[in-house]
Amino acid sequence: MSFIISFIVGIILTLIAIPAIYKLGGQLQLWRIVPEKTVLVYTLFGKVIGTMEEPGINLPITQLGPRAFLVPYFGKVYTVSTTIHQYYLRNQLVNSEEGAPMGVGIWYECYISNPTAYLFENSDPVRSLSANVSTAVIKQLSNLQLDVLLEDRDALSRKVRTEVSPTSEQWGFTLGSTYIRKVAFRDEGMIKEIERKVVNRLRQVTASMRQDGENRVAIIRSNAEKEASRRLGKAQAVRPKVVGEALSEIRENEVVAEALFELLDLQATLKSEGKIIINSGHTPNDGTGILLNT
Amino acid sequence: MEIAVLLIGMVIAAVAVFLYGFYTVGPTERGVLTSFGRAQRLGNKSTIDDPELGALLSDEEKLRYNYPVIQVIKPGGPYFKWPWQKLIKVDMTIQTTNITWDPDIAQSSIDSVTKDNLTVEISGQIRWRPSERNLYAYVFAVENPTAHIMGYFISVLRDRIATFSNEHEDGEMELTEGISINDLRKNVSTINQYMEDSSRKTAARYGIELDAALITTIDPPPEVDEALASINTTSNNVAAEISQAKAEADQTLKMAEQAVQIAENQANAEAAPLLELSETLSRMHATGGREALDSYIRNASLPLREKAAQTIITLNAKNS
Repeated sequence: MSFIISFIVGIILTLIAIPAIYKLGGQLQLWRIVPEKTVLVYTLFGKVIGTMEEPGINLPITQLGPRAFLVPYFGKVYTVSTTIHQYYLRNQLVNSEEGAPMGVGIWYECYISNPTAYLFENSDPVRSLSANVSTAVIKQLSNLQLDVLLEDRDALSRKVRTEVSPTSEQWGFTLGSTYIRKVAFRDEGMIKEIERKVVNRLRQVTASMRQDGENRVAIIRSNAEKEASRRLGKAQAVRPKVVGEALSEIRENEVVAEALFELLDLQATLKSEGKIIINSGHTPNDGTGILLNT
Repeated sequence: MEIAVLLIGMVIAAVAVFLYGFYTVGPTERGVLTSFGRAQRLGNKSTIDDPELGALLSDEEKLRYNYPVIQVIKPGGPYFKWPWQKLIKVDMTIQTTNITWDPDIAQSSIDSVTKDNLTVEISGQIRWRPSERNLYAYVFAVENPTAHIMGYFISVLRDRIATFSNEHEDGEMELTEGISINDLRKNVSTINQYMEDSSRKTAARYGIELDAALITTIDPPPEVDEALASINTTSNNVAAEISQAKAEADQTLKMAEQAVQIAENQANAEAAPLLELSETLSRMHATGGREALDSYIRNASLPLREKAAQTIITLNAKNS
C-alpha cells in the first residue's frame, strides 16, 4: 500500500508540485516570466520601483534589488500589454463648409509605449484617447469643403494624428496610423437630393448621347454622299480623258488621223440603216453625175 | 525503500512530461516556440533589416513597426520542446474574409460616398494569410490581426472610391464625365488592383499578406441604377446606328468606285480600237505612204457601193 502511495506522491510532486513551485517562485518575485509584448510594472509602498520589459525569464532581484522580495507583501505588479490595438470611432458629427451634416468614422491604432504613464497618469487613458481623437476629428474636419473632406483623407488623418499624439504620449499611448475610414451624409433628404441630381445628370447624358449618335450618323452619311458624288464625277470624266488621250496620240500623225477618220466614217456609214447615196467623184463638183439604181 | 519508489514515480512523471514534449507541425501550419515566454529570435535581425519588408515602410513607420525576426518551425516533425517552452501554431492557409465583416456590428454591405457624392453599396471579399517573414507581428504584436487588416483595408477602399474618376490618356471628354459611379462600375478590376498594391505594406506592418482584393459589386441606389441602365441601352443603340451608317457609307462608296471602274473600262474599250487601227494605219503609211492609205480607204469604201441606194458616178471629170 505504501508503495502505491509513494509512487502517486512522486507523480504528484512532479506534475503538480513543480509547476506550483514554479508559480509560487514567480509570485514571491524569485523569478518572473515576461511574455512577448508585455511589460511588468513594479510598485512598492505606492511608488514605482521599476519595470521589466525583456521577454523571457527575469530575476527581479538583479534589477530591483532586495526590494523585490517586499513587493508580494507591500507592493503590486501590474501587467501591461504593448500589442497594437485598433479602435474605430463611428459617426463623429461634423459640418462641411457648405453646411452639410456629415458623419465621419475614424479608425486608429495605438500601443502602450510608456506603461508607467499609462497606469498612473490617467484613470481611463483608452477613453481619454478616444475622446481626444474625437475632438481632434471634429476640430480638424469641421467647416472644410465637402470635396476636401471626401478626397484629402490622408492629409486630414495626419493632422488628427499630429494633434492627438502629444497628449496621448503623456498618457503612455503612442498613436499609430490614423485613417478617416468613413465620410457619410447624415441627412436622408440630402442623400435623396444628390441621387435626384445624379439621375437628372444621367438623363441629360442619355439625351446628349442620343443626339451625339444622330449627329455622328448624319456626318457619316453626308461624308459618304460627298465622296460618292466625287467618285461619280470622276466616272463621268473618265471617257473624255481616256478617249481624248487616244485621239491626241493619233493626231500626232495627221495623215494617219485623216485616214483613220475616213475609215471610221465608212464603217459608220456601213452600219447605218438609212439610205445611202454615193457620189463617186472626189467632190460633188468633179463632173456630171449619173443617178443609177433608182 | 519509500524514497526509492517516490523517485521512481517522479522519474516516470518526468518521462511522461518529456514524451508530451514531442510535437509535429502540419503541412498548412508554421510553429513559433517560446522559452519562458520569449520567442526564439534569429540574431538581432528585425523587420526593417528585411530588404523586402523594410522597403515597404517609410522612415517614420520603421520606428513603429520594428519587430524582431523569429525562428519559424517548418511543417514536419517530430520536434521536441521542453516543459518550459510553449508552442504556438499558426494556420498559414489563405483566409477569405467578407469586407462587410466588422468585429463590432453585423452588416450585409458597406456604404461609401463617391466623388460625385453619391452613396453606393459595396460588397466583396479579401483573401489574406499570415506573412511567414513577419510572424512576430501576426502572433505577438497585433492584438486582433483580422480586425486590423479590415480596418486598414476599408479605410483605403473608401478613400479610393471617393477619389476615383476615370483618367483618359488621350484627354478626350466623355459625356458621362462627372458621374463617377459609371467609371467605378467599369473599373472594378482597376480598383481591386489598386487595393492589392496599397495593402502590400500590411505584411510589414501587421504580418498579414493580402492575397487578393475581390470587390464584386458597387451598387448605386435603384433610381440611379435605372438611369445608368438607360445610358447603357442608349449607348448600345447609338453604337448600332453608327455601325449601320458606316456599313451603308461603305456600300455607297463601293458602288461609286465601281462606277468609276465601269466608266474606265468603257472608255478604254472605245479608245482601244482607235489606237489599234491608228497603229495599223501608221505602219501602212510608213511603208506605202499616202497612196497606200488612199488605196486602203478606197478599198474599204467598196461595200458602200453594194449597199448604196443611189450612186452618183462622175464621168469624164477631167473633160467637164
